[in-house]
Formats: sequence, structure tokens, C-alpha cells
Amino acid sequence: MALSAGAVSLALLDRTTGPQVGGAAPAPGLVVRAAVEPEGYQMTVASYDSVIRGLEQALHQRRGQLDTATVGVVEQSLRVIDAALAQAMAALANDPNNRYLNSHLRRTFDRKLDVLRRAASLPVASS
Amino acid sequence: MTRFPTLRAAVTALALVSVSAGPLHAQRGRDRDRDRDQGSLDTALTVRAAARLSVSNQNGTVTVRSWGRNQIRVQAEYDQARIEIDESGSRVSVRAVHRRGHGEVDYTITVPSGTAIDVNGLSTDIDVSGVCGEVTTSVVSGDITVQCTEGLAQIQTVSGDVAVSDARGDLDVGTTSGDIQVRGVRGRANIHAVSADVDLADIQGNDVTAEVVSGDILYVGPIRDNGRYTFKSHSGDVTVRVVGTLNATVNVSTFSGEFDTDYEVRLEPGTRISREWQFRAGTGSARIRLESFSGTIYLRSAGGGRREE
Repeated sequence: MALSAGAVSLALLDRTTGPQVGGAAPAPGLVVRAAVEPEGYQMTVASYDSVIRGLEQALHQRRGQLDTATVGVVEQSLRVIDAALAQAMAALANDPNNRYLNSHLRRTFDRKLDVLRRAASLPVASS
Repeated sequence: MTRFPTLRAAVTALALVSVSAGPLHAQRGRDRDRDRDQGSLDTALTVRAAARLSVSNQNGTVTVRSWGRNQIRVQAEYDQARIEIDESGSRVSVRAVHRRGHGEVDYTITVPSGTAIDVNGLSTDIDVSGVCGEVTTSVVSGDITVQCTEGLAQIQTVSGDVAVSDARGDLDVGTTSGDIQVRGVRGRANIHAVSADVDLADIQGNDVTAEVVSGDILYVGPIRDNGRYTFKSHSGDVTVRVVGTLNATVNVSTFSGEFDTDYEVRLEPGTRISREWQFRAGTGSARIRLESFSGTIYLRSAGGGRREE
């Protein structure tokens, strides 16, 4: 897969916890991270992350049992969805409160879940 | 359970069909010449009213037609496969057991009008026409054509084109990759796809949704008063050509696309100038939501003569 939603979401989450607070100097050796409230869309990304990772893992494990052409179609579709997710998240990074973009991101994640769940339940290919 | 693995069974069944004008009964509980796994089958089972047919096929085709008899007739050409038929009450199940996974079965099945049809398969083209009952299909790879349904029609395929016409009840279509054409739906229409062009026309129902990630959506038809219409694509164009009068509140959203309409757009007070628009046409009673992240959104009058660029 060209781009994993799991990978995308982790990168975003890392960024939200990055900055350190100013004010009183922390004790030497103590790193204090800010209680940064993640943007709404990052919460969305995080909420889908574990489910998507689990389903991707399940698909990966079943890959050898499935018809190769079908796996190709599924993976191509997932690439299409991942590209759409990346575009939506890039747009949200500049306009995090955009209602349309937030709704669009959730729906696109839902579509990815649909594809992964369907792939996870595909019958084993004839040998 | 009735098994028809052999030419002999097929011949017997053919004879029954050809000489009997009365009810035809499949032979039950017999296994014959299992080593023979290539040939043809033609048999019929008498069924009660409100029959249900379930067909499972790995590779091949499933064609279903209707007739005026209270019988389900199963005709099949099979290669490296065995066919099993189960009958239980008004339910008939037809299943192909493939030899070493390479078998293929082409079915032609004739059923009483109104029979509920359930077909699933791996690599199977499906054509269900004129039955006018509930239809459920689920295949991994294959084109699906369905003409005339009553009640709920649920069409699912991973890879393949879908064509549905004359759906007299509700319709759900889902495909991962393949184009979708729908003509004539009286109930709710709900279409979802990843990579697909969706072409909808003559939809009489007033609850229509089509959503794709990659692909164009075209809707040509009336916008019913108080109806709900939702068309969304990520990267494709969304085109609505309205037949008749438009009385709707229209919401349009895009990120980097454009909106092009024949209708007069008067932004309502408080509507901010952005990539989202809401406006009212006529009485505003229907709700139309049009979205495309990066494609062009067209809202046109079908009689307007303009075409999308």
C-alpha cells in the first residue's frame, strides 16, 4: 500500500504532542510536554487508527489466501482512498474547523473501513 | 439433498422436463457417478408461494428468469464441478462444488415471479431479469445486471460493473471498483463505491444518495418536493440535471473544485463567501447536498440545453 492511514495518523499525533511549555524552567532532565488539545480532525484520525490498523493486519495475513486479482483491486482502491485521505488532511491542516472537510474526512475513513472489512471477509480463492 | 454430478442425472432430468406437463420433481437423495464432473443438468422443483432461491457459484455465470409456473427450473452446464440442490420448504439452495477449485458452472434458472433471489460467488457474472422479487447479490468479481425488483435489492461486488433497472422498492448498491448504472427506482436509492462512475436516471423515489471516492456522478431526474438528495465525490464531477421544477434548498461544498449552475443563486443572509454555498430554489422543500473535494459540481435544468464541459 502506498500510504497507510495508520502511518498518517501517527505522524499527526506526534506533531500535536511536540511543543514544550515555557514558564518556569523544568527540573534538569525532566521533559514537560504541553497538554495541547489536538485539532478535531486529528481526533477523528486517532479514532479510526486502531481499527484500521487491525483490519490492515488481518488483510495482510490473509493476502496469500485470496485471489491475486482481487487483492490487486482492493489494494488499488485502498491507495485511492489513502490519497483522498491525505488530501483531506492536508486541507484540514490549513483550515481545521472547516465543517465540510471534517465531514468529508470522516466519510472517507468510513469508506476505507468498508473496503477493509469487506476484504477481511472475502472468501478464500480456489487453489 | 439432491446431487446432480453426472450426465446420467442430467439426461433423466431432461426427460422429465420434456415429457411432463405436470409438476416436476427433482430426484432427491441420490448421488450418481461422482467421478463424472462435466456435463449439463436440467431439472425442476415444485415450490410453494413466496419461494426463495439461493445460488452459490465460484466461477461462471448465473442467469435467472421468471415464468408462470410454481416451479424452479435449474439448467446448468458444468465443468469440473458438482451441483448440489437443497430444498427446504419454500427455500431452494443451489450450490456448485468445484473440483480442485478450477471448476466452472453456467446456470440458467427459471423461477416463479416474485421469488426472492440470493446469489453469491467468487468470479461470477449475474443477470437477474424479470423476476420482480427481492434480490441480494454478493460477488467478489463479476458484472451484475438486475432488472425488476420488489422489496429490497442489495447489490454488492468488489470488482465489476453493476446495472440495475426497474427497482420497485429500495436499492442498495456497493462496489469497490466498477461502474454503476441505475435506471428507475421507486424507493430509496443508496449507492456507494470507491472507484466508479455512477449514472442515475429516472429515479422516482425521494431519498437518493450516491457517494464515490474517485469517479463522476450523474443524476438525471426529478427533484421531488420534500425529497432528500445527496451526491458526493472526492475527485470526480457531480452533475445533477433536474427534470421538471426545482423546489429545493441546495447545499454545495467543494475544496478546490467549482460550482456551475443554470439556476439563479441568491445566497441567504449570513452565507459566507467561501467554497460552500447554500441557496433556495422555488419553495425550497427538497434538500440537495452536492459535494466534490476537487471536481466540478454542475446543477443544471435538464431542459436547459447546456451541457457540462
